[in-house]
Amino acid sequence: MVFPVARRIGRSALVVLLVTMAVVALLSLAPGSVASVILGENATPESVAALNARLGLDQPLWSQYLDWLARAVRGDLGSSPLTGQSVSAAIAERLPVTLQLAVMALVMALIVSVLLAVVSAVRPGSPADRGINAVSSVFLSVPAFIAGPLLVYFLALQLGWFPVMGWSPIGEGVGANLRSALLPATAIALTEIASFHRLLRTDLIGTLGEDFVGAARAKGMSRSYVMFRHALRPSSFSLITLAGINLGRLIGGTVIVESLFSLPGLGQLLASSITARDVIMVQGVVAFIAVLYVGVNTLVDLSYRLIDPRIRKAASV
Amino acid sequence: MIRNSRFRVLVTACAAALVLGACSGTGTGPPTGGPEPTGDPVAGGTARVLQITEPRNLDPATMGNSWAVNAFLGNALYGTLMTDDPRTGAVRYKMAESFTTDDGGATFELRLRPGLAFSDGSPLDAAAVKFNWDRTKDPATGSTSVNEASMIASSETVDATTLKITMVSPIPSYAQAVLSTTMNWIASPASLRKGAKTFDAAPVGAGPFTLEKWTRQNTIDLVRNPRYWDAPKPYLDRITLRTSADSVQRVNSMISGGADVAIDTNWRTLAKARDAGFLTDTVPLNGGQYLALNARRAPFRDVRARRAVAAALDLRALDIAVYNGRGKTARTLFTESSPFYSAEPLTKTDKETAQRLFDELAAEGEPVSFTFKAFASPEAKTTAESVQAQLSAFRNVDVEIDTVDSSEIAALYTRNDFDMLISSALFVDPEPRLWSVFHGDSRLNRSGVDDERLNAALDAGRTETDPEKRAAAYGTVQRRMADLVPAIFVGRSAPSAVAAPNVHGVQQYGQGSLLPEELWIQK
Repeated sequence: MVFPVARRIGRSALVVLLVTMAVVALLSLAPGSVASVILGENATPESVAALNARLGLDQPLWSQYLDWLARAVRGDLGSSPLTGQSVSAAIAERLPVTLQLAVMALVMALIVSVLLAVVSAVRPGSPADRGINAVSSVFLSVPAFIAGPLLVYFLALQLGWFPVMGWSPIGEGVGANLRSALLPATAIALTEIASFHRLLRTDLIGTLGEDFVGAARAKGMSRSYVMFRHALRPSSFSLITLAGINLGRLIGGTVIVESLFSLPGLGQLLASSITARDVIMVQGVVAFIAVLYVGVNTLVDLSYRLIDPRIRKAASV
Repeated sequence: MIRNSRFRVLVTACAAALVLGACSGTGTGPPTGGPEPTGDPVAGGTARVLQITEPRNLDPATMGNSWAVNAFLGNALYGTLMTDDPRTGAVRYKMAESFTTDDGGATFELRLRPGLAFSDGSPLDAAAVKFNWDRTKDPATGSTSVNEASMIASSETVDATTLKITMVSPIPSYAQAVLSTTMNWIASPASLRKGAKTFDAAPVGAGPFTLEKWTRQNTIDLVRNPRYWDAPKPYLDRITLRTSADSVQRVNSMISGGADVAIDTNWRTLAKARDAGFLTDTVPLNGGQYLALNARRAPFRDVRARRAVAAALDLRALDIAVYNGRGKTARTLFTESSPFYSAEPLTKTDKETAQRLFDELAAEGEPVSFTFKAFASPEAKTTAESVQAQLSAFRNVDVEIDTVDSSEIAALYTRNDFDMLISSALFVDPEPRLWSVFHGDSRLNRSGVDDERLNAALDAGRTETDPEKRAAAYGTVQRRMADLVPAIFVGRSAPSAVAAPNVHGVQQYGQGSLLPEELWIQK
């Protein structure tokens, strides 16, 4: 039991390391530098070179990376040369926004997709199933940068139910917070609903065809009891895996929606830092997202043992 | 009560001035598109304001005093030494009592109002101004106004309220450089010395508002400064600033009731705001946005290539592509309201001449082939695409577009590594901006055209104090620019504020610098 877990954690650490190395390498290929951004268009080449030297950006790439890594493993992600803000403080400030968006979107997607999948799987090929599949196809093919403006147009501009942009922290009231979060969370959730629904529908149809389901029905159990007690649980492994992967992805991948709605989340922080070539901030945020991503996935992998007795038994043999 | 009587005095003065045809009560003329304000200013309330760009920090030297950057926030935190009437360029004194020269702009004396204080109670004196201007001048500060501050050779404090400055070379209209840049904002030296992190948490200025809280990329919350020198202003109790770089999002937010004021820069969304019943106020700046043609290298080293592209482009079609035809093309260097206005256009569309020049250059083995470095904004990209599309109708000319993001702009300018890009030259008085952008000795001369007669005319426009001789000098500047085509002016900029119908007191100065202390909300 201990060895597989340690091996899984070791692999995760390697992934994080490779991701941060790749980020540094990619940013070094991009034109422009944070020194040019700080000094602005009036800068002379000499003043840019002097600032690069002061920030240590004239050092070889591997040296810069090792310096950063040595501090990062001690928990010091450094400070942005552009804003002076510490990377950890910036992450702590932005994480609640992104986390709330991701969790809200995921919860919305899970609730809606489970309901839709159950309806679809009860009578595959029925008009209801075909209708849900059609809607699901639409959701799947409409990216967030289309869904977002459409939601804004109808629900914010025409009906005035939600703000067009901006974020209200939960400290300013739950109502205001939910109003500012609901549209962006919905824009994110639409695609997730479609993919979750398709996956669960397929698994449910498969499970409903199993002998033990037929046996349960033969014992006189109701259709809904069999669905929720016997079919849904074994059909949800793929869904849990996907939800876990997507939660990690959403934490670092809500850039477009955060930009569309001007939300102060990790995605916006990352996008603006990349544009400004703020390597320290980008490295820190990416490392954090990578840790979170592989952490969530590791937990999902380990959770199989809790959900499925067969895996527990297989591991103990 | 005091406020009401002050306002009545202001209204009476303006009415009298209007009769004389020279009212300067509002910086940019009355806003258009909504009802006229009625009644006296009302104290209290919170204004939700949308700005275009969030500052990277609150250091006054590194912010930018124009509408597209952080003018509103800078004015709120640090107040203003001077403002102007952006229509006439007439200087108005605020925290400064006077800014005078008696030797044709070789030296100036800045006199501050007595008793000025920062929001922490410490005095705002001549030494504080000197400290801020010296910092701005230091290249290590990275100020957006380093060029204007570097026009000062030295400065000395005469007494608590008087600063004497000596210029590198005489510039009689230097007040314009001060008020239209971050030199207009003075922060507490003690506060600045504490370092960027401490300063950003609690910046100390003498503006009408102080910082309550800044959540980056979300809101900047400002509260009324009870020590503000021009009581009973500001009228508002609080301001909440949000940032959105997207003009459509800003105007949509206004329409949905999510904001009271928006700083705007796009002619198309301004028209949409007016159509929706909002008040809009646009500063009528001279100059505008131009396509800089790099004469340091081929193909624009040859003046015929520059003339060919200028003759090929239809500015009206460009405006339709970028602003749905709601923008203002810049056919002349100065707007009609300027004393330097000349009806002679800088460029004329002449497709036959353009094709002849393209063919001529191709026959000589130097076809016009260039890359348009387009910045990432939608307007810049559309402009580049429209230029490319228009030139594709001609033979022997080839245009590629390379989109660059903001981190590359500074490096592009520093190395002059471009063929064509969009830049801007915006001004009320042509000094010092026009000299900086087109004089051969200026580092900011994007095109690199260094013409003796153009330089001499720009020098004369800078140093001459006789209005007629200045006008003659700028007449020469326009003719030389039309002949040499260092740039193709494509459109006037739109330094604007959009206000909800119940918001009044919209006043801008300089390059679209909105004054927060004048805003009030009708309840």
